[in-house]
Amino acid sequence: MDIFLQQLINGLVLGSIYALIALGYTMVYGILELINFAHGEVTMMGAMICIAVMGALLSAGGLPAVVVLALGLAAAISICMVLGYSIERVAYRPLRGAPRLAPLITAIGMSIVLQNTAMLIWGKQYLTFPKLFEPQRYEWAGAHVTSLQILIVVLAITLMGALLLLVHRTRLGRAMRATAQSPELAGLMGINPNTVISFTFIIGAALGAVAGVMVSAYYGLAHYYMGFLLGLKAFTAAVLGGIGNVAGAMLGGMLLGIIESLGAGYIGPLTGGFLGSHYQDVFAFFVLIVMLVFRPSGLLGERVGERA
Amino acid sequence: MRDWQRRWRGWKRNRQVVLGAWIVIGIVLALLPFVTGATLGRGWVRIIDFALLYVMLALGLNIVVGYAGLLDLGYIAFYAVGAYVYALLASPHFGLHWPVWMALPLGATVAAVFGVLLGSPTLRLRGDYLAIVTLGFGEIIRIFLNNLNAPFNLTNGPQGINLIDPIRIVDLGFSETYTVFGISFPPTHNYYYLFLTLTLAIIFISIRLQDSRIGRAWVAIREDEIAAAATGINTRNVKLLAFAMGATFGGVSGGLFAGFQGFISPESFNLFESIIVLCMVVLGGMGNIAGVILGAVLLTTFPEALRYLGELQYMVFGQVFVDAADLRMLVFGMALVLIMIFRPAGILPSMRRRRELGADAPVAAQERRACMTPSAKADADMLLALQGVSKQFGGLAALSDVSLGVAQGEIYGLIGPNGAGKTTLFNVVTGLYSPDHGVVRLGETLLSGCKPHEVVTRGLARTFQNIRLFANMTALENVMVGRHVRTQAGVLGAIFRGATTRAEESAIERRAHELLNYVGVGTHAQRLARHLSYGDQRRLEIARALATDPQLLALDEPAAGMNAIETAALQELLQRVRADGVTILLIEHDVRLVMDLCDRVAVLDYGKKIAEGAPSTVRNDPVVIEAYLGGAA
Repeated sequence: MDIFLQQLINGLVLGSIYALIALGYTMVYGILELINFAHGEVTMMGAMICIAVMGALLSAGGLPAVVVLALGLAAAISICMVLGYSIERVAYRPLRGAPRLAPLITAIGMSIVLQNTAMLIWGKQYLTFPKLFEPQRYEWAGAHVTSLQILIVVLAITLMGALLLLVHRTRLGRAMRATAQSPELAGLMGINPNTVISFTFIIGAALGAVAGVMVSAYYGLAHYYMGFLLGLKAFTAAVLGGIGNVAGAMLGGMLLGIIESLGAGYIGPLTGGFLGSHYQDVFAFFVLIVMLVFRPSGLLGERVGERA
Repeated sequence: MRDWQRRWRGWKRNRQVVLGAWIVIGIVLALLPFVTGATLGRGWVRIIDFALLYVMLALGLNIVVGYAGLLDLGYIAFYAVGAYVYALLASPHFGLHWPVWMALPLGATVAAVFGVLLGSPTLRLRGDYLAIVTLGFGEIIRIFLNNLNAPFNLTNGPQGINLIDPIRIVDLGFSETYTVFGISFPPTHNYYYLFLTLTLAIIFISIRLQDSRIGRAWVAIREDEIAAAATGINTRNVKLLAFAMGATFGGVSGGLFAGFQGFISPESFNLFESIIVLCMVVLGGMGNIAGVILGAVLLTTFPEALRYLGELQYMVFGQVFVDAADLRMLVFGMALVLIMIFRPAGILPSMRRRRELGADAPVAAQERRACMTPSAKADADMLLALQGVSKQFGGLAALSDVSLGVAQGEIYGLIGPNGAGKTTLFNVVTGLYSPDHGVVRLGETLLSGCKPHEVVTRGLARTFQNIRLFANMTALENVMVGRHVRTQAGVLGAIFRGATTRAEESAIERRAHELLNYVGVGTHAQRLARHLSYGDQRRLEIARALATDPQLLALDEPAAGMNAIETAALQELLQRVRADGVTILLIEHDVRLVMDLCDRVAVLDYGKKIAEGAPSTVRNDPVVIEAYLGGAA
């Protein structure tokens, strides 16, 4: 039982992070029907920038740990927002209306550029996340929870709540929803689709930056190549929940995190040791394929009506 | 037309110039390894060998992505399968040393099987979703290759397989150095000629396929899947064929790669490789063979050329600031972005520049009953008979208990207010929807439960309310696609193009020309469908439907949006079609056209048939007047 609970908790933490990144994919896809391949790299940038800024502040000394973390996070978020905005302007906007695959290739190109820029700046080694606090450990029903895990989940849920409010209760949110339905019609109603799209990228990038900081704090490490698999998993989560659907991305992220860690925990005993926990990454894709084959619109996605 | 273009065209027509150009290309290709080896060094010959492998890979993916429009992001998995099959059968790992002519085809076959395995459950997914599923599939294969060293050592895990037998055909070992007439042929050169030969074969196959019955079916699916099905193409099988063909090419180049390199590991087959191959296809110009080759050559050689960035820095600045190996991928990424921004359709765009890949979704494959051919008894002399057909959408009854019959040789009109269920009825009859209750019969054949292409095979063709042509195919090709169901040529026929295939192909073309003239758009045969005028597009759609040799032609509002002259011409055309023995089922809003043209008319309202009979009777029926004008009448 305690294994189950422990894996559930780990899955929830991982899932919150996936969910935050997935939001960036799903919002962009909802409006542009574009897989923003570079989003994983933005997340990676968030982690790297935060670690670099904190490192600099710590070596200067004199600042309390909370302030260091806050400044690191703020730097990560703001630089990633600029990145998100620029990626859209440089790589996607000129190609609106181009053949569908063209922006996918530029997205891949941007992804390569960001990765290699990070590699040139920070090198090929793993960066370690500075130890600012000694995390508290709590024991509950035979499972361990750290204060860091609680912080990650709470922060993620708060951010997602705020995003839902933004999308459903504000003028900008309404404009986003309208643009997602039909950019032309939204334009006729006086909404500037370009502004909306820019905002979507900026918000997504900010959430991605936070998620990047969370991952690196959780594992204590960051690496220029980390964005790739992370982005892939988060995209999977977005598809799982129903791409284009904000609540779906949250649900999909949480589910994927839980499936992955439960799967990794149980696959060994279940297959008599034939498959081990190094197959963890297979689950994400396996779940994705099964999901898409049986319910292509995702868990919360709307069924797309067919017209002949 | 600019001057150089005119001159270019002139040269292209001049046979001597063309022949001369081919001879020059041939000589260049034959001497390439020696020239390269002498100028750039032996290493570059090896790079060219790899470029050829990638050309083969890219051409395989081009069939899937460029021709059939199926976005595959896990293509490298087939390369991996081919490579591993070859490696396992020809290395000390299992102590097996199969000859090339057995191991290589087996690798290709296994890859094709994987292609079908991946394809069969996933092919009804939409463009982007398919991309993600294939991506997941590619990763799963790689993860398994990485981990299947325990409990039973199949793949040797992350270390990969070493000491793979070099390729050897009878006594000719490609990894040995030969001296012929005093010229030395080192291994890289031998492999160059082997790869070049195979690449030329694959190019040849690609060209042949592109211009065949199968190739047209692929393009038709890419352009408009629903229309393709309604034209009688079994979209599922044809897509599976594309996947299998692409996977076969991948498998062959994978096996060659294993033999050439002598060592493989899962790292060679990561997602990045899939993406790079896709980039080759898109960057060069999807669907265009020359473009794909160019893309593959560029993307293989460019990163290698960028290795000189270090020397360049040294020459310009006197010192090396950034390691070239680190810088080159950055430049590569930027180049991808820039090229796509300035040439969104690729460097050498295909003739038909497609706006979108997999634009609209395929038809929801609803639960279907089996499509059965024989049936008990036909309904007297009715060609098309509906009995008690009902169809619900959620709580809405789009059709309830509709029965009607269309007699052989008549023009039967279906009218009713907007939302009365006319198009739903059409979709039920033509197999896009499966009815909840009731049966649809064509002659003695049961149609309900048949898929769209099966309905076409049985002799019922349709047009669409909002014209669905293959917009980026020519008018002639659109009609030629219509002949798909009535012809046979397959992949082998396309490649070898024997007498039968050639005869069939010319018959298809002749018939298509006839039909174009028949509907009156013969002069536009070579124009792209989307460049035709609205009225001509309608006629073209009818010609395409007629190409399937239907007994019954179902037309969904053919006169919608036409002016009076076009309508009159349409009326004349439909009468001619009927006179030639084709029965017509017609949905139309233009009441005058219906009254003039139809022998009998049925009126639908709220999914029910409220009247049926001769036009003059129906027109005066009080129930019909009420339905059209509301209670006030």
